[in-house]
Amino acid sequence: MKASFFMFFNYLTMMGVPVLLVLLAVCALFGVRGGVQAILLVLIAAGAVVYGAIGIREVFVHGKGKHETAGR
Amino acid sequence: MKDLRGSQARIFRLARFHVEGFIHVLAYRIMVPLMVLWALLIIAYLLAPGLGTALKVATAVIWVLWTPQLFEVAKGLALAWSRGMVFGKLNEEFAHLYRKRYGAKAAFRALPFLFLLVWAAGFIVMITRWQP
Repeated sequence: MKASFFMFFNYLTMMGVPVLLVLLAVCALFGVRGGVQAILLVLIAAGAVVYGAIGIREVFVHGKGKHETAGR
Repeated sequence: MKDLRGSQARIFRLARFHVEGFIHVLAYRIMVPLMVLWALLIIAYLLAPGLGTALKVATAVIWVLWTPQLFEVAKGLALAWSRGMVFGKLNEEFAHLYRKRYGAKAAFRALPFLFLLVWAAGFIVMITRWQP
């Protein structure tokens, strides 16, 4: 269950942040600023923290020197 | 984590036999710590004006680093949605039966490139039109 808990947020932000970034670009294209841009940026920041934190755990922490998947 | 090829932490071992995977992993590894700093910069920008240029530069860097990740995600989706027919390694007989039942699904092969097109267009718009 722990793995799927992390995976849900990992996948959500992996796909969500690029969508929000493209939306930010679309807003810039049509000159939408102010509150809408601020909300998008807050959501992007939240997604970036989650994705970054899970990524750091995945890349630099998880499984460090613990397992061998194949014998010598 | 180790397997017969040695420690998985040594991502450079990938470069010899899977360049695309290597680029993806390398970009991901650089991007992941930067993501957290980028998020902090966004919050700082929202709280204190005057960080617009820094935010734009950081966003451009993350945008570029995210490109291999986006490509692989699109490839994964195409693989799943086509039941392994594109970007998969089904054996010939199984692939033949799948084609007979579900159709060729060859259009899914274009999905990652479609994603890249939208992504690149967004990048150009962000660079030229976004004034944070």
